[in-house]
Amino acid sequence: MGVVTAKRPAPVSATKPQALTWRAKLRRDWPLLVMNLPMLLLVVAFWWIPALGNVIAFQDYNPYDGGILGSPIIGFTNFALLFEDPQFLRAVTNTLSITAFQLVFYFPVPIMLALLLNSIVSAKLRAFVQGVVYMPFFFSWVLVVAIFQQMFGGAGLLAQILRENGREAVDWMTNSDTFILLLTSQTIWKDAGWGAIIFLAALSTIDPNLYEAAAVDGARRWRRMWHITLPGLRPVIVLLLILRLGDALNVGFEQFMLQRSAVGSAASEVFDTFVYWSGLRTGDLGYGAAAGLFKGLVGLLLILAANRVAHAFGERGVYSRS
Amino acid sequence: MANPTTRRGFLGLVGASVLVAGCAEKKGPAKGTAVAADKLKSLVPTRVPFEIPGLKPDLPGSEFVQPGFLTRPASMVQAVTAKPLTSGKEVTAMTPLWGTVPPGLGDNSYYDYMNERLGGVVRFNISDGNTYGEKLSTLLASGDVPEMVMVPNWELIKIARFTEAANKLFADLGPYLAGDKAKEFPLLANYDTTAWQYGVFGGVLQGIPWQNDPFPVATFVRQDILKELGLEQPKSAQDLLTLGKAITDPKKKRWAFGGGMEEELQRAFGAPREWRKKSDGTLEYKYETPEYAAAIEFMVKLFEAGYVHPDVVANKDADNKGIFGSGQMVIYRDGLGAWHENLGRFQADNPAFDMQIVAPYPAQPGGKTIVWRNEPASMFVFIKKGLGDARTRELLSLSNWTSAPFGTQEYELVNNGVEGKHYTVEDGKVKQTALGRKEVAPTYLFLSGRPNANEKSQYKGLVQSLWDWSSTASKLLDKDPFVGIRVETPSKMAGLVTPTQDKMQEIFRGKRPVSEWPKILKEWQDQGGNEAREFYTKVARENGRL
Amino acid sequence: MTALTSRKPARLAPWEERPSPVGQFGKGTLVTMIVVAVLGPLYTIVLTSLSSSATVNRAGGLVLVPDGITFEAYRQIFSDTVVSRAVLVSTGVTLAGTLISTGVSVLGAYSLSRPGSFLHRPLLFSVLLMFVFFPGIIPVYLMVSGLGLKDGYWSLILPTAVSAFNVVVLRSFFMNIPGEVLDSARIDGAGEFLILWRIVLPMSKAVTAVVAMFYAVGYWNAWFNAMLYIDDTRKWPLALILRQYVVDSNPLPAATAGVTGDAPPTLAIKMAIVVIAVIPALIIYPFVQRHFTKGVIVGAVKG
Repeated sequence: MGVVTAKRPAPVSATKPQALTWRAKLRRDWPLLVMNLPMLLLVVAFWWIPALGNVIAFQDYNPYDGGILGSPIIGFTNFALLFEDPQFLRAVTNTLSITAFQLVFYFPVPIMLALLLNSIVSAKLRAFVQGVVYMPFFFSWVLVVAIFQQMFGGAGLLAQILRENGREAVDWMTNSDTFILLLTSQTIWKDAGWGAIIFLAALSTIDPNLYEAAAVDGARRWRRMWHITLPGLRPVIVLLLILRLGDALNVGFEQFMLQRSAVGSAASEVFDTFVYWSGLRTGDLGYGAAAGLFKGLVGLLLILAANRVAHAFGERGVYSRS
Repeated sequence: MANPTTRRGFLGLVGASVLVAGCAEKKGPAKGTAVAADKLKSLVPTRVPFEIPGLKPDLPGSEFVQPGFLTRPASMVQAVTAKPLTSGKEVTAMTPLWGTVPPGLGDNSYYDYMNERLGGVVRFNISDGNTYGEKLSTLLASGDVPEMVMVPNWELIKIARFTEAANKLFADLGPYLAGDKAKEFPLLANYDTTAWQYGVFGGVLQGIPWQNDPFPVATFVRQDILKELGLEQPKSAQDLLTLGKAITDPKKKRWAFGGGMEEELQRAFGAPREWRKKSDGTLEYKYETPEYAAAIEFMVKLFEAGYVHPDVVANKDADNKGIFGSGQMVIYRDGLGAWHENLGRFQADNPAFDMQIVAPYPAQPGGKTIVWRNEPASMFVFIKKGLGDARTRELLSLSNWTSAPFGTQEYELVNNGVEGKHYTVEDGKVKQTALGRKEVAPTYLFLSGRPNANEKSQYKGLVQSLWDWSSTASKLLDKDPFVGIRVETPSKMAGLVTPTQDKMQEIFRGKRPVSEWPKILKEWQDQGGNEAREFYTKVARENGRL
Repeated sequence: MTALTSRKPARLAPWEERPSPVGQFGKGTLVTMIVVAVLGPLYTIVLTSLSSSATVNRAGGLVLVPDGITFEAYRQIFSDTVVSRAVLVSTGVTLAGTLISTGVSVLGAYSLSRPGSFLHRPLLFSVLLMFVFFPGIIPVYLMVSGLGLKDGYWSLILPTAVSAFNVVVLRSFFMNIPGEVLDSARIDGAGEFLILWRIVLPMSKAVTAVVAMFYAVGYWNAWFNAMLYIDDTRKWPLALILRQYVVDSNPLPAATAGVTGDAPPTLAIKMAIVVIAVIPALIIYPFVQRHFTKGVIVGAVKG
């Protein structure tokens, strides 16, 4: 009964897969391959083959003279250009610190929100609140930033109220020291409700009888959450955490471009904005491809490392060892 | 240097070069090109002004002053009698669109009428103006371009190796238009020569230009609010400080200044728009001039005192027009076209809305005043290469037709559609009908440019004020050492513009001390500014300008 | 937690203790604050969309204080025949795309849910790499036009049909299904397709519904592919058509100011577009939410 929750699920097949030859495996698993085929075709056609184009990262690529097959190979020059830039390091550290900050202060929010929503007893109220909180996901960053400006900016609602009461108005939108807080609150406001959906789905897979059994054993509300709910959510949490790490150098683009003049580039320069600006200066596609490959490589390493850590803690992570 | 690559060993070479070569030299981005003044003359059409029979502007035009029309002409003249499209083959054209999407071919009576008049069907491939650059660069890199393509200058400078792309994909118009050949296309020959010169890429005449206003920007004020407060328009930069203090009142949600004032101040202090010849015969860029630094210091004062609207402080690209219209901000800088745009947007609901242009002013009272010269063209139409002589001529005829200036039937069709159907004229004012709003999107408008006219007579006093302002400004034009030479900005330098300006914006907003400006300037010089100077110096020398 | 067990969850389960008044109050306050934080700005958005241009111009931004209500913005959008056509296009693309994407992803995720199966690791890895490495726009464009998909509806579906995130999430949920359930089915002679259809899918309704919604929302809001691949405006989806209403004339230099006309789209219309964009999501969410309310797995194990 309790298999669903705390422990890693039992191996899917009772037989030891390593013992089989590839022929035997193929004979056994061909239906899986057939199932995989539609996805494989799409991925190969629209992802793998086009992704080979990233080879231009190693070229002095010129689409108008030689193209991808005729442009000269220049090795790691594009990467060297990237790393040599004095702004590069700042952009990377900025990005990573924003990611780290958001892992602590944003990542748990959708989980807590899902738990909160799930604990609302009235079905009507719960549906209403759920329906409300995920709406901001559909707003563009332009709108989200405009809304924050209208509320907390120097000519905004809050400043106006403060002034009317004879107090000094505070402009939250242009303070580079608190930018990371502003940024995270914007992200929470926009995305937390949407992010909670997947955890709500995960909560629905937890066996309700476990709660009853725990309650009968005398476990109170918080203990039940600690011992049943959270372990039930753990695989999904770990999975999303690993995937977020793979995106460590991705913290968004528009949000930063829009608020660049407000807080200054020292605070708002992230990897993507850096690549955008330096790409305009160097003016070619090979450079952009090199930046993309670098970002991907960092992401991949982080995913693999995080996955290894997850395995050490007995979690399945994003892929399994066997 | 780089390894030459054969197709065969291509993938293997990737690995090999990584191991062996490590890092190889890169040819780098486009270095910029320049065409000397005398050679340029033979490349572009000889200008033959097109006189519209029976139409005389109320206020005469000159090189830097657009002709003014105080009332709308009672009847419009047909400029081109022959139908431009003769082959019966559909024309494909890619154009940007800012605004709502019109119904497609077959459901659009405006298209039907226009195609009837043109003698053939134009199939538009409309693309959102804000993402136009992304589509354009993809199409260029994949070599997949339609017969006619409109390319805005501000997208073009962001596209890597655009000149090479243009030379490879688009037709050389020289054989059809250079010198007197342009007589075959009288409306194209009517463009300013400087505008045509801007259409030269890599020494080849390629782009049909969209002619610009002669002046880039001006300072505008809410005259109604100034009057209410008993204030006068600024006569020097110093006046801006007094006005800032008198106008700004956060409790009343009113601030003095909007965005972009730094450009007007740089001009007021006397910095050039781009390059300037120093007394020792070398070139200096605007960033390097003491006037520019002085303008920065002045801007910091405006920001520090809190005279700038908080939305602009938070976002240098804030919607200035909206804030200006609401009266929360009183003085800002904008392009000259913004004048009628704002009047159209705000006067209907608020008849008191009175927007006025400020005469060019110096830094100190009584100081020397200069005005910047605008870039001669802002967009270009290209024709695909290899369409054959007859087809290229046919497409040029189409551009010729759509180039007709104000006062012609063609101009009305291109801008407003069919009278009585898409628009009506009441008291000399053009009024769009519901069908017009739906169907007449700027499409044929983007198959060429056209010489501008000062003709928004529906707004009281606008034409006369603009004409007066332009006449004053035309006498104050700054000397630009590169007038009449086609210089394509080196990519490296073009790419440095926004990062450098961003740092300057940070100084305004107190995110960097003013004392950092010399450091920023040095970065600009090191990262490509000095390289650009060498290039420009060479060009200027070759043309006897230094 | 009662919500999990009962169709009528408005009561506490018999085994559940009464919540403390302090806890109830704290929770109530928190929920109220969250709802207000979203509804407050939403109020100004809806209000702005219902305001006249005079009101918007006076406010100089979003409207906070109502001053007459008008449906002019909505009337203007929906009287546009181009919009009604695009609604059809978007509906079709979203339905077909969601069906294909969800189907392909469920099959793919299940095929990757058995570690140790033939080619398991390389196939899984090829999906994982999709997270971190991206092909450039130009190679994908060449592929789409090479396959002859340009200017057709398939170009709006196939290039973005597989989302690695959704596949990995589905796979993770599939792998949480107790192994003995599947093994007993296998012993009974059920093939993989039957197991997926009869056991795995019914036990994964919630996550499948969520993934389908992710795809549907993605297709409905997608405009980039259409911008790139569809030249014929009659085939444009709603998202691309609506984008044209919200463009700013800001980036345009002075000389071209005329090309946007004398009356650029008002803020009221922009906000009406925002409201319109949220509506489809509001409609489908209740259908997805319905699958959240049962402990599905235990039911399947028992049955």
